Amino acid sequence: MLGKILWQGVTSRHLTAIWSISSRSKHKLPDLPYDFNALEPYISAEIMKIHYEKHHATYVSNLNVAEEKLGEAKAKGDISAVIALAPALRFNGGGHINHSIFWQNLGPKSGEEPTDDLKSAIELDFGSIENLKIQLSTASIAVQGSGWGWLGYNRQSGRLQIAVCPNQDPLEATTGLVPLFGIDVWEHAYYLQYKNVRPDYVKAIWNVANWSDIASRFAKAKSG
Amino acid sequence: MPDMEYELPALPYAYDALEPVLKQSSLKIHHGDHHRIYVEKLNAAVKGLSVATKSIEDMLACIDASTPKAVRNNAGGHYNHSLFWLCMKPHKAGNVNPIPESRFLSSVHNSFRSEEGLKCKIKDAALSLCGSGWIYLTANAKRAEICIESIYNQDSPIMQDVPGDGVPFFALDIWEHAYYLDYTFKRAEYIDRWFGLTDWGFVSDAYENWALKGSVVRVSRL
Repeated sequence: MLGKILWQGVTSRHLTAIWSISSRSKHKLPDLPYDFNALEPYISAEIMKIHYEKHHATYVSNLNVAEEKLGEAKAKGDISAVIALAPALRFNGGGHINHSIFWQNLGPKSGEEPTDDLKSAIELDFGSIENLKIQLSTASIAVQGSGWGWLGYNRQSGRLQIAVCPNQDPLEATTGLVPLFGIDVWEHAYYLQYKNVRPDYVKAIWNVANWSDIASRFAKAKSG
Repeated sequence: MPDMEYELPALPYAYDALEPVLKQSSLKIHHGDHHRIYVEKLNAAVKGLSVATKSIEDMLACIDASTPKAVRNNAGGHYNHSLFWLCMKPHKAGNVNPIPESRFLSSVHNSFRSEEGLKCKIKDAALSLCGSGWIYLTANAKRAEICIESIYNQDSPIMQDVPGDGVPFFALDIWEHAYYLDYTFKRAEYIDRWFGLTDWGFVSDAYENWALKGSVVRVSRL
Protein backbone atom coordinates (compact mmCIF):
# COMPACT_ATOMS: atom_id res chain seq x y z
CA MET A 1 0.00 0.00 0.00
CA LEU A 2 2.80 2.40 0.85
CA GLY A 3 3.70 4.49 -2.14
CA LYS A 4 0.54 3.53 -4.02
CA ILE A 5 -0.67 6.60 -5.87
CA LEU A 6 -4.16 7.43 -4.67
CA TRP A 7 -4.96 10.78 -6.13
CA GLN A 8 -3.02 13.20 -8.33
CA GLY A 9 0.41 12.20 -7.08
CA VAL A 10 -0.59 12.16 -3.42
CA THR A 11 0.39 8.82 -1.98
CA SER A 12 -1.06 7.08 1.02
CA ARG A 13 2.17 7.95 2.87
CA HIS A 14 1.45 11.64 2.28
CA LEU A 15 -2.08 11.34 3.55
CA THR A 16 -0.98 9.42 6.63
CA ALA A 17 1.60 12.11 7.37
CA ILE A 18 -0.94 14.91 6.91
CA TRP A 19 -3.56 13.18 9.04
CA SER A 20 -1.10 12.46 11.83
CA ILE A 21 0.13 16.06 11.82
CA SER A 22 -3.47 17.33 12.02
CA SER A 23 -4.41 15.02 14.85
CA ARG A 24 -1.15 15.79 16.73
CA SER A 25 -1.78 19.52 16.55
CA LYS A 26 -5.49 19.52 17.45
CA HIS A 27 -6.01 21.11 20.83
CA LYS A 28 -7.97 19.28 23.49
CA LEU A 29 -9.78 20.26 26.65
CA PRO A 30 -7.37 19.41 29.51
CA ASP A 31 -8.62 17.15 32.29
CA LEU A 32 -10.08 18.98 35.27
CA PRO A 33 -7.98 18.00 38.31
CA TYR A 34 -11.07 17.77 40.58
CA ASP A 35 -14.84 17.26 40.48
CA PHE A 36 -17.15 20.10 39.51
CA ASN A 37 -18.29 20.46 43.14
CA ALA A 38 -14.76 20.52 44.59
CA LEU A 39 -14.56 24.31 44.86
CA GLU A 40 -17.87 24.73 46.66
CA PRO A 41 -19.14 26.80 48.34
CA TYR A 42 -16.80 29.39 46.79
CA ILE A 43 -17.48 28.49 43.15
CA SER A 44 -20.60 26.41 42.50
CA ALA A 45 -20.63 23.08 40.69
CA GLU A 46 -23.15 24.57 38.26
CA ILE A 47 -20.72 27.29 37.23
CA MET A 48 -17.74 24.91 37.03
CA LYS A 49 -19.61 22.50 34.75
CA ILE A 50 -20.76 25.18 32.29
CA HIS A 51 -17.48 27.09 32.46
CA TYR A 52 -15.43 23.97 31.65
CA GLU A 53 -17.75 21.93 29.39
CA LYS A 54 -19.18 24.84 27.40
CA HIS A 55 -17.06 27.98 27.54
CA HIS A 56 -13.59 26.40 27.61
CA ALA A 57 -14.62 23.61 25.23
CA THR A 58 -15.84 26.23 22.73
CA TYR A 59 -12.52 28.07 22.83
CA VAL A 60 -10.77 24.76 22.11
CA SER A 61 -12.97 23.79 19.18
CA ASN A 62 -12.90 27.31 17.69
CA LEU A 63 -9.12 27.42 18.09
CA ASN A 64 -8.85 24.18 16.14
CA VAL A 65 -11.05 25.61 13.39
CA ALA A 66 -8.98 28.81 13.24
CA GLU A 67 -5.71 26.86 13.09
CA GLU A 68 -7.05 24.66 10.31
CA LYS A 69 -7.98 27.76 8.32
CA LEU A 70 -4.53 29.17 9.10
CA GLY A 71 -2.95 26.04 7.63
CA GLU A 72 -5.02 26.39 4.48
CA ALA A 73 -4.21 30.08 4.14
CA LYS A 74 -0.49 29.44 4.59
CA ALA A 75 -0.57 26.61 2.07
CA LYS A 76 -2.10 28.97 -0.47
CA GLY A 77 0.31 31.76 0.40
CA ASP A 78 -2.69 33.97 1.21
CA ILE A 79 -1.14 36.54 3.56
CA SER A 80 -4.34 38.55 3.80
CA ALA A 81 -6.27 35.53 5.03
CA VAL A 82 -3.51 34.74 7.53
CA ILE A 83 -3.75 38.26 8.97
CA ALA A 84 -7.56 38.14 9.06
CA LEU A 85 -7.36 35.07 11.31
CA ALA A 86 -5.36 36.91 13.99
CA PRO A 87 -8.38 38.01 16.11
CA ALA A 88 -9.86 34.48 16.17
CA LEU A 89 -6.48 32.98 17.12
CA ARG A 90 -5.97 35.56 19.83
CA PHE A 91 -9.45 35.17 21.28
CA ASN A 92 -9.73 31.39 21.17
CA GLY A 93 -6.03 30.70 21.75
CA GLY A 94 -6.04 33.14 24.65
CA GLY A 95 -9.24 31.59 26.02
CA HIS A 96 -7.68 28.12 25.87
CA ILE A 97 -4.41 29.22 27.49
CA ASN A 98 -6.11 31.24 30.20
CA HIS A 99 -8.63 28.60 31.23
CA SER A 100 -6.03 25.80 31.16
CA ILE A 101 -4.01 27.80 33.70
CA PHE A 102 -7.13 28.69 35.71
CA TRP A 103 -8.22 25.10 36.43
CA GLN A 104 -4.71 24.33 37.75
CA ASN A 105 -4.56 27.60 39.70
CA LEU A 106 -7.62 26.50 41.69
CA GLY A 107 -8.18 23.54 43.96
CA PRO A 108 -10.32 22.38 46.88
CA LYS A 109 -9.94 24.65 49.90
CA SER A 110 -6.79 23.65 51.74
CA GLY A 111 -6.20 26.57 54.07
CA GLU A 112 -2.65 26.73 52.69
CA GLU A 113 -0.83 29.99 52.25
CA PRO A 114 2.32 30.66 50.20
CA THR A 115 5.59 29.50 51.74
CA ASP A 116 9.33 29.71 51.15
CA ASP A 117 10.50 31.42 47.94
CA LEU A 118 7.06 32.51 46.80
CA LYS A 119 6.22 33.95 50.22
CA SER A 120 9.53 35.87 50.26
CA ALA A 121 8.92 37.23 46.78
CA ILE A 122 5.38 38.31 47.67
CA GLU A 123 6.59 40.06 50.82
CA LEU A 124 9.34 41.78 48.85
CA ASP A 125 7.07 43.05 46.08
CA PHE A 126 3.81 43.63 47.97
CA GLY A 127 4.77 43.93 51.64
CA SER A 128 2.59 41.03 52.67
CA ILE A 129 0.36 38.26 51.34
CA GLU A 130 -2.64 40.28 52.50
CA ASN A 131 -1.49 43.25 50.43
CA LEU A 132 -1.11 41.08 47.36
CA LYS A 133 -4.66 39.85 47.82
CA ILE A 134 -5.95 43.40 48.20
CA GLN A 135 -4.11 44.70 45.15
CA LEU A 136 -4.95 41.82 42.83
CA SER A 137 -8.55 41.82 44.01
CA THR A 138 -8.89 45.58 43.44
CA ALA A 139 -7.39 45.33 39.96
CA SER A 140 -9.60 42.36 39.03
CA ILE A 141 -12.79 43.97 40.30
CA ALA A 142 -11.99 47.14 38.34
CA VAL A 143 -11.69 45.37 34.97
CA GLN A 144 -14.15 47.07 32.66
CA GLY A 145 -16.28 44.52 30.84
CA SER A 146 -14.66 41.11 30.37
CA GLY A 147 -11.10 40.16 31.21
CA TRP A 148 -8.66 38.71 33.71
CA GLY A 149 -6.64 39.92 36.68
CA TRP A 150 -3.17 38.37 36.90
CA LEU A 151 -0.28 37.88 39.25
CA GLY A 152 2.64 37.64 36.87
CA TYR A 153 6.40 37.26 36.95
CA ASN A 154 8.57 39.82 35.21
CA ARG A 155 11.59 38.00 33.77
CA GLN A 156 13.53 41.19 33.17
CA SER A 157 13.27 42.50 36.72
CA GLY A 158 12.80 39.18 38.50
CA ARG A 159 9.84 40.76 40.31
CA LEU A 160 6.20 39.87 40.79
CA GLN A 161 3.71 42.20 39.17
CA ILE A 162 -0.04 42.60 38.86
CA ALA A 163 -1.60 43.13 35.45
CA VAL A 164 -5.05 43.02 33.88
CA CYS A 165 -5.88 41.93 30.35
CA PRO A 166 -9.10 42.55 28.45
CA ASN A 167 -11.27 39.81 26.99
CA GLN A 168 -9.15 36.67 26.42
CA ASP A 169 -5.87 38.42 25.67
CA PRO A 170 -3.21 36.06 27.07
CA LEU A 171 -0.90 37.61 29.66
CA GLU A 172 2.47 36.47 28.34
CA ALA A 173 1.89 37.28 24.67
CA THR A 174 0.38 40.66 25.60
CA THR A 175 2.70 41.89 28.37
CA GLY A 176 5.66 39.51 28.53
CA LEU A 177 4.79 38.59 32.13
CA VAL A 178 4.72 34.89 32.98
CA PRO A 179 1.27 34.03 34.34
CA LEU A 180 1.30 32.69 37.91
CA PHE A 181 -2.31 33.17 39.11
CA GLY A 182 -5.29 34.43 37.14
CA ILE A 183 -8.73 35.56 38.25
CA ASP A 184 -11.33 35.21 35.51
CA VAL A 185 -13.72 38.17 35.80
CA TRP A 186 -15.84 37.45 32.75
CA GLU A 187 -19.40 37.45 34.09
CA HIS A 188 -19.79 33.77 33.10
CA ALA A 189 -17.18 32.93 35.77
CA TYR A 190 -19.44 34.04 38.62
CA TYR A 191 -22.84 35.36 37.56
CA LEU A 192 -25.02 32.33 38.32
CA GLN A 193 -23.84 32.41 41.93
CA TYR A 194 -22.81 35.98 42.68
CA LYS A 195 -24.95 37.93 40.16
CA ASN A 196 -23.61 41.46 39.75
CA VAL A 197 -21.55 41.32 42.98
CA ARG A 198 -18.14 40.67 41.45
CA PRO A 199 -16.32 41.74 44.65
CA ASP A 200 -17.88 38.83 46.60
CA TYR A 201 -16.65 36.34 43.99
CA VAL A 202 -13.14 37.80 43.93
CA LYS A 203 -13.02 37.69 47.73
CA ALA A 204 -14.20 34.06 47.73
CA ILE A 205 -11.76 32.81 45.11
CA TRP A 206 -8.79 33.22 47.46
CA ASN A 207 -10.18 30.29 49.48
CA VAL A 208 -9.58 27.98 46.52
CA ALA A 209 -6.28 29.38 45.24
CA ASN A 210 -3.87 26.48 44.75
CA TRP A 211 -0.64 27.92 46.14
CA SER A 212 1.35 24.79 45.24
CA ASP A 213 0.51 25.34 41.59
CA ILE A 214 1.27 29.05 41.80
CA ALA A 215 4.58 28.31 43.54
CA SER A 216 5.61 25.77 40.94
CA ARG A 217 4.84 28.25 38.12
CA PHE A 218 6.95 30.80 39.96
CA ALA A 219 9.85 28.37 40.37
CA LYS A 220 9.70 27.45 36.68
CA ALA A 221 9.51 31.09 35.59
CA LYS A 222 12.53 32.02 37.70
CA SER A 223 14.64 29.20 36.38
CA GLY A 224 13.51 29.42 32.76
CA MET B 1 -26.62 75.94 35.76
CA PRO B 2 -27.34 73.50 38.55
CA ASP B 3 -25.81 70.05 38.53
CA MET B 4 -27.96 67.23 37.21
CA GLU B 5 -29.02 64.38 39.42
CA TYR B 6 -29.22 61.48 36.99
CA GLU B 7 -32.06 59.09 37.69
CA LEU B 8 -32.77 55.46 37.01
CA PRO B 9 -35.63 55.57 34.50
CA ALA B 10 -38.70 53.50 35.31
CA LEU B 11 -39.15 50.58 32.93
CA PRO B 12 -41.98 51.19 30.42
CA TYR B 13 -43.45 47.80 31.44
CA ALA B 14 -43.68 45.55 34.50
CA TYR B 15 -40.73 43.33 35.43
CA ASP B 16 -42.64 40.24 34.32
CA ALA B 17 -43.77 41.69 30.98
CA LEU B 18 -40.83 40.26 29.02
CA GLU B 19 -41.44 36.68 30.15
CA PRO B 20 -40.84 34.02 29.02
CA VAL B 21 -37.96 35.52 27.03
CA LEU B 22 -36.42 37.30 30.02
CA LYS B 23 -37.49 36.30 33.53
CA GLN B 24 -38.85 38.80 36.01
CA SER B 25 -36.00 37.98 38.43
CA SER B 26 -33.38 38.62 35.73
CA LEU B 27 -34.89 41.96 34.76
CA LYS B 28 -35.01 43.04 38.41
CA ILE B 29 -31.27 42.48 38.69
CA HIS B 30 -30.42 44.01 35.29
CA HIS B 31 -32.49 47.16 35.85
CA GLY B 32 -32.63 47.36 39.65
CA ASP B 33 -28.97 46.54 40.25
CA HIS B 34 -26.76 46.94 37.16
CA HIS B 35 -28.45 50.04 35.73
CA ARG B 36 -29.12 51.58 39.14
CA ILE B 37 -25.43 51.24 40.04
CA TYR B 38 -24.36 52.90 36.77
CA VAL B 39 -26.58 55.85 37.70
CA GLU B 40 -25.29 56.06 41.28
CA LYS B 41 -21.67 55.86 40.18
CA LEU B 42 -22.29 58.44 37.46
CA ASN B 43 -23.70 60.90 39.99
CA ALA B 44 -20.64 60.38 42.18
CA ALA B 45 -18.18 60.62 39.27
CA VAL B 46 -19.47 63.93 37.85
CA LYS B 47 -19.65 65.84 41.14
CA GLY B 48 -17.90 69.13 40.64
CA LEU B 49 -17.18 68.55 36.94
CA SER B 50 -18.48 70.89 34.25
CA VAL B 51 -20.24 68.02 32.47
CA ALA B 52 -22.44 67.61 35.53
CA THR B 53 -24.87 70.23 34.17
CA LYS B 54 -25.50 68.32 30.95
CA SER B 55 -28.27 65.93 30.02
CA ILE B 56 -27.09 62.36 29.60
CA GLU B 57 -27.48 62.73 25.83
CA ASP B 58 -25.28 65.84 25.72
CA MET B 59 -22.78 64.31 28.10
CA LEU B 60 -22.24 61.28 25.89
CA ALA B 61 -21.53 63.57 22.93
CA CYS B 62 -18.77 65.30 24.95
CA ILE B 63 -16.96 62.13 25.97
CA ASP B 64 -13.51 61.67 24.47
CA ALA B 65 -10.19 60.03 25.30
CA SER B 66 -9.50 62.54 28.06
CA THR B 67 -12.73 61.84 29.93
CA PRO B 68 -12.19 60.09 33.28
CA LYS B 69 -13.00 56.36 33.00
CA ALA B 70 -15.54 56.59 35.82
CA VAL B 71 -17.54 59.18 33.88
CA ARG B 72 -17.22 57.38 30.57
CA ASN B 73 -18.17 53.92 31.76
CA ASN B 74 -21.06 55.01 33.95
CA ALA B 75 -22.48 57.58 31.54
CA GLY B 76 -22.28 54.99 28.78
CA GLY B 77 -23.86 52.36 31.00
CA HIS B 78 -26.70 54.70 31.96
CA TYR B 79 -27.47 55.85 28.41
CA ASN B 80 -27.10 52.44 26.78
CA HIS B 81 -29.39 50.70 29.24
CA SER B 82 -31.95 53.52 29.03
CA LEU B 83 -32.07 53.02 25.25
CA PHE B 84 -32.16 49.23 25.62
CA TRP B 85 -35.31 49.27 27.80
CA LEU B 86 -37.04 51.44 25.19
CA CYS B 87 -36.13 48.96 22.45
CA MET B 88 -38.27 46.28 24.11
CA LYS B 89 -41.99 45.83 24.66
CA PRO B 90 -44.13 43.24 26.42
CA HIS B 91 -43.94 39.79 24.92
CA LYS B 92 -46.86 38.60 22.82
CA ALA B 93 -47.64 34.91 22.51
CA GLY B 94 -46.57 33.39 19.22
CA ASN B 95 -43.40 35.45 18.94
CA VAL B 96 -44.54 37.06 15.65
CA ASN B 97 -43.14 40.56 15.72
CA PRO B 98 -42.83 42.19 12.30
CA ILE B 99 -41.35 45.62 11.59
CA PRO B 100 -44.19 48.05 10.81
CA GLU B 101 -44.41 49.80 7.41
CA SER B 102 -42.12 52.76 7.81
CA ARG B 103 -39.14 54.58 6.38
CA PHE B 104 -37.08 52.29 8.58
CA LEU B 105 -38.55 49.17 6.97
CA SER B 106 -37.79 50.54 3.49
CA SER B 107 -34.24 51.23 4.56
CA VAL B 108 -33.97 47.68 5.95
CA HIS B 109 -35.10 46.30 2.59
CA ASN B 110 -32.54 48.47 0.79
CA SER B 111 -29.60 47.47 2.93
CA PHE B 112 -30.48 43.94 4.07
CA ARG B 113 -33.05 42.71 1.51
CA SER B 114 -35.49 41.69 4.26
CA GLU B 115 -36.24 41.77 7.98
CA GLU B 116 -34.69 38.32 8.26
CA GLY B 117 -31.59 39.63 6.51
CA LEU B 118 -31.27 42.40 9.12
CA LYS B 119 -31.78 40.03 12.04
CA CYS B 120 -29.21 37.61 10.61
CA LYS B 121 -26.60 40.34 10.39
CA ILE B 122 -27.38 41.59 13.90
CA LYS B 123 -27.04 38.03 15.20
CA ASP B 124 -23.72 37.51 13.36
CA ALA B 125 -22.38 40.70 14.88
CA ALA B 126 -23.56 39.66 18.34
CA LEU B 127 -21.95 36.23 18.10
CA SER B 128 -18.66 37.70 16.86
CA LEU B 129 -18.31 40.18 19.71
CA CYS B 130 -15.51 38.65 21.78
CA GLY B 131 -16.22 40.11 25.19
CA SER B 132 -18.80 42.48 26.68
CA GLY B 133 -20.49 45.06 24.52
CA TRP B 134 -23.43 46.25 22.48
CA ILE B 135 -24.81 45.89 18.99
CA TYR B 136 -26.20 49.17 17.71
CA LEU B 137 -28.04 50.17 14.56
CA THR B 138 -26.95 53.65 13.50
CA ALA B 139 -27.73 56.27 10.88
CA ASN B 140 -27.32 60.03 10.65
CA ALA B 141 -28.47 63.15 8.82
CA LYS B 142 -26.07 62.46 5.93
CA ARG B 143 -26.46 58.70 5.92
CA ALA B 144 -29.93 57.13 5.81
CA GLU B 145 -28.31 53.75 5.25
CA ILE B 146 -28.44 51.64 8.39
CA CYS B 147 -25.13 50.45 9.82
CA ILE B 148 -24.63 47.67 12.36
CA GLU B 149 -21.96 48.63 14.90
CA SER B 150 -20.35 46.27 17.42
CA ILE B 151 -18.93 48.28 20.30
CA TYR B 152 -17.14 46.94 23.38
CA ASN B 153 -17.89 47.65 27.04
CA GLN B 154 -20.16 50.69 27.63
CA ASP B 155 -18.89 52.78 24.74
CA SER B 156 -21.25 54.34 22.22
CA PRO B 157 -20.75 55.71 18.69
CA ILE B 158 -22.03 59.01 20.13
CA MET B 159 -18.73 59.38 22.02
CA GLN B 160 -16.15 61.43 20.16
CA ASP B 161 -13.33 58.89 20.23
CA VAL B 162 -15.42 55.85 19.27
CA PRO B 163 -15.28 54.94 15.57
CA GLY B 164 -18.56 55.37 13.71
CA ASP B 165 -20.36 58.53 12.74
CA GLY B 166 -23.91 57.40 13.30
CA VAL B 167 -26.56 58.00 15.93
CA PRO B 168 -27.63 54.74 17.59
CA PHE B 169 -31.38 54.20 17.46
CA PHE B 170 -31.34 50.51 18.49
CA ALA B 171 -29.24 48.92 21.23
CA LEU B 172 -28.89 45.21 22.02
CA ASP B 173 -27.01 44.32 25.23
CA ILE B 174 -24.48 41.52 24.68
CA TRP B 175 -22.84 41.71 28.10
CA GLU B 176 -23.22 38.24 29.67
CA HIS B 177 -25.25 39.75 32.53
CA ALA B 178 -27.99 40.56 30.00
CA TYR B 179 -28.71 36.90 29.30
CA TYR B 180 -26.73 34.57 31.54
CA LEU B 181 -29.45 33.88 34.12
CA ASP B 182 -31.91 32.96 31.36
CA TYR B 183 -29.67 31.39 28.71
CA THR B 184 -26.24 30.76 30.35
CA PHE B 185 -23.68 30.32 27.52
CA LYS B 186 -26.34 30.19 24.78
CA ARG B 187 -25.96 33.69 23.39
CA ALA B 188 -27.44 32.63 20.02
CA GLU B 189 -30.67 31.46 21.63
CA TYR B 190 -30.92 34.72 23.60
CA ILE B 191 -30.66 36.75 20.37
CA ASP B 192 -33.22 34.60 18.53
CA ARG B 193 -35.74 34.95 21.34
CA TRP B 194 -34.94 38.61 21.98
CA PHE B 195 -36.28 39.52 18.55
CA GLY B 196 -39.68 38.54 19.94
CA LEU B 197 -39.40 41.49 22.34
CA THR B 198 -38.03 44.16 20.00
CA ASP B 199 -40.19 47.27 19.89
CA TRP B 200 -39.79 47.91 16.19
CA GLY B 201 -42.27 50.78 16.48
CA PHE B 202 -39.91 52.61 18.81
CA VAL B 203 -36.89 51.70 16.67
CA SER B 204 -38.58 52.95 13.47
CA ASP B 205 -39.57 56.17 15.18
CA ALA B 206 -36.10 56.69 16.66
CA TYR B 207 -34.56 56.11 13.21
CA GLU B 208 -36.83 58.56 11.41
CA ASN B 209 -37.29 61.31 14.01
CA TRP B 210 -33.88 61.31 15.73
CA ALA B 211 -31.11 59.48 13.87
CA LEU B 212 -31.98 60.82 10.40
CA LYS B 213 -32.06 64.31 11.91
CA GLY B 214 -28.62 63.79 13.43
CA SER B 215 -29.94 64.05 17.00
CA VAL B 216 -29.01 61.73 19.84
CA VAL B 217 -32.10 59.71 20.76
CA ARG B 218 -33.56 61.19 23.92
CA VAL B 219 -33.86 58.58 26.66
CA SER B 220 -34.34 60.77 29.73
CA ARG B 221 -37.38 62.63 30.94
CA LEU B 222 -35.35 65.72 31.82
